[in-house]
Amino acid sequence: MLINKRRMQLTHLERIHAIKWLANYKSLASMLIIFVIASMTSHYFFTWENMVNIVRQASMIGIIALGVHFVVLLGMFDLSVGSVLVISGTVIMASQNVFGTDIFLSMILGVVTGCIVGFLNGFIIAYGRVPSFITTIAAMFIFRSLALWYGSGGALNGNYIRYTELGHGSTWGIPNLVFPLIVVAVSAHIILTKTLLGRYIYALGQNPMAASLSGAPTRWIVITAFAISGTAAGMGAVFETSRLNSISTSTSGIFYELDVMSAIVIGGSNLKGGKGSILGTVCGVLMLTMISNYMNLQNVSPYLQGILKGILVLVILYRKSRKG
Amino acid sequence: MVLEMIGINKGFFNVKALNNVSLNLQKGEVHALVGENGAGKSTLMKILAGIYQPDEGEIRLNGKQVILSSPNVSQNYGISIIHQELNLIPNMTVAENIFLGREPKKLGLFSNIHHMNRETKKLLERFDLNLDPNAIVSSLSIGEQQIVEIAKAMSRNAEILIMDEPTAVLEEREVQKLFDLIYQFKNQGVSIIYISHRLNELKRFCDRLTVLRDGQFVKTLPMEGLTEKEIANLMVGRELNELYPAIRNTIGEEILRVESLTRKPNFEDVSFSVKRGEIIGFAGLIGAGRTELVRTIFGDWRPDGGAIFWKGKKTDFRSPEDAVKAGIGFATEDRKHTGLFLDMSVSQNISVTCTRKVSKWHFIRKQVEGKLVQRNIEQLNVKVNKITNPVKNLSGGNQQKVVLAKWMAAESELFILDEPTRGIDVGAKGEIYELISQLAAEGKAVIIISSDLPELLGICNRILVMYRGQIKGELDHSIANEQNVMVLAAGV
Repeated sequence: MLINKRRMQLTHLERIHAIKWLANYKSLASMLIIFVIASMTSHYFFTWENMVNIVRQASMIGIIALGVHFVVLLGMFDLSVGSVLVISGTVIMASQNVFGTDIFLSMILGVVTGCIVGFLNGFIIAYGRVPSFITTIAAMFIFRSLALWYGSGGALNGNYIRYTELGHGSTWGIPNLVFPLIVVAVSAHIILTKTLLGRYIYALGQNPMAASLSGAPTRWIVITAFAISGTAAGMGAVFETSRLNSISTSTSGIFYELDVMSAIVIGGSNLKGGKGSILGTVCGVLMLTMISNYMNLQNVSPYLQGILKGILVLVILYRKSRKG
Repeated sequence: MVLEMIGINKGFFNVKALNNVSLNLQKGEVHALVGENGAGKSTLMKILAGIYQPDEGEIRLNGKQVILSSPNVSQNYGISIIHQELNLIPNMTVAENIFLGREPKKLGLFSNIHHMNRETKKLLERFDLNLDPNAIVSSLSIGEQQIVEIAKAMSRNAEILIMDEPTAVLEEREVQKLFDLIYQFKNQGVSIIYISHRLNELKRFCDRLTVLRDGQFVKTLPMEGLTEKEIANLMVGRELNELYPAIRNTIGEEILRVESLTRKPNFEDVSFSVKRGEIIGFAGLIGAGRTELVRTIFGDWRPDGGAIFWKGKKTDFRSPEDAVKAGIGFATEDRKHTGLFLDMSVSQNISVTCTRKVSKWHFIRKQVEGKLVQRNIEQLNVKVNKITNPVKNLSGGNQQKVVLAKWMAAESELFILDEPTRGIDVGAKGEIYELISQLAAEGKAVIIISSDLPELLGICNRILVMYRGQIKGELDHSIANEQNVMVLAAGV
């Protein structure tokens, strides 16, 4: 009897722990719920091909979101990522077909372009004290416009067929683009949890005044975060161009900044800064992708999918504001 | 008896915040409620205000048992609480704030501004208050804002008024005004529960006193004949030794010199110097420019003119980062908003000033960090269960110690402490004074800004008095007393 009672208590305790653990990983839990519901209601959803498909679709927004995550942790915005993607993509394509640069070098040039734009954003925000919202909107216009001018509003194509193998191909049955995504996600997690930069980013996001008065190198932190965001968008450009072997100066990257922000918010990050995890953002991206994939499978018009996305973001922000 | 609280119990999770606490209040009495931080005063008052529900116990108003199920219910019974942080809407007028949520209506739709202003004027006149009902709240001084808050409570016909540390943010002049107001309420039959850490205030007008300690009821006794020391002993539960450590006179070389530093309109032509082993105090009224001065020295603000010499060399701190690197530590007056990262751990809050010491190749070494933090919190006697717990769970006194610990961990050579003991209890105060004295003994220099005059007189080697942005005088501790400091601070 006594033993039995003790066992009951233990399981009860364990149950509490499990609930607590899941409460800490709310975005993971919600993703699992969506996953289970989708798998049960659609035959095709939980198949290898579809899983590969989802991951492939998620990789583009995913890689950008990982970069923007750093900026959001500071309580700031980066709305320029779509334009950074298009300018980096332009650099990649142009260097390949105009200057004959080899694939690898052109990729590096694209990523470096993103990094430079991010650095400039950060520099203006940190030293000019212009709000990030304004600065990155300006960058959004400027770099989109620059790309449009160079491409005369049309698309730029690449020269190398081999380049598309990177974006389309798979290794061991897994799409190639997933590997860099995993590497970036793991590095981002390590940077945020184990390094000085990560510590400073959380501190600055939570209480900018206290961080500054504690002697934190605030300008360096802001610039680095934006450079990381730009770099990630540059990598996004590599993903985009390697899939299509072209970049459209008028349509590539449009609304990416908003998709990315929604994914980050759904992943549990606080727009005021200081709170949010890489795991959350990854789950947020996967959730959005799974939902739109599921709706495609259920023959919901793609034009209607924005409604659900909108409602989802609204519900999450509403619940957060209720909690204070 | 207007109010009786009998055998109140309240726990949060496993922690008992209140254990069989009783309190009674007579009509027209001012009743002091004292205890260290974490003694349960706030919890008890929150129960009375309807914010928390007691687990056990009984509340009686005028002999009838009541259940205060929400703040609204409590207000309808005539209980009003004036919180430390004021709850006014800054862009609205005095009258609008007082009538917020129950504005008199014209045709049931438009608020009747004239009626509102008239009523407000009547209310303010009843207490001899000289305030324009049409004034925008944000243009008023903190003291006046507090009076608006009190007027708001009185307009709801409050019979019981709870005041939580009302004088913490007031200047001496405004404190006097508040006391006059309390006398009037008393004469009109309002009962007041008065919470304060400033024991010398209580003697001026409180009738009785209730002491809480660690969630337990200690004693209720008449104020007459009690000394401050006796009250302090009851609060702490042991004999308190002399609050202030002895002032040392072993003073070393100069570490910081400021020459005719100016930043208009905050301060002008300020010159002074600090030496190693010295504790200097800045006295003055709120708005005299003391905080602005130290923030400028710290590199947070830019001066218009003048020079700063650090260890004999002219320097120009372009940001707090530079100042911290040079060896200056600055504990701000508002630990919650500018001193701490409330959601981050104790450990992270302390190591943020010395990240280089706890990291290698930019990677934080958890063990090194843990040891450093552990050493500092032990030295300061900070009470924490785990250094990984968030700092917001600590009491005010312990939070303040964390702020000090972070600058000790940074091995600062000059400590600038802005209101280092604001809102913390006697026990923790004593420990902080002891610590400041110890820092000076180790050859560090300390600058203290404080509105608590006895504190400055008790620990400083020298006191500089500021008035309207200028240093009006310097007094050595051997000659300084409350009178001559106040004379300088008032600019007479």
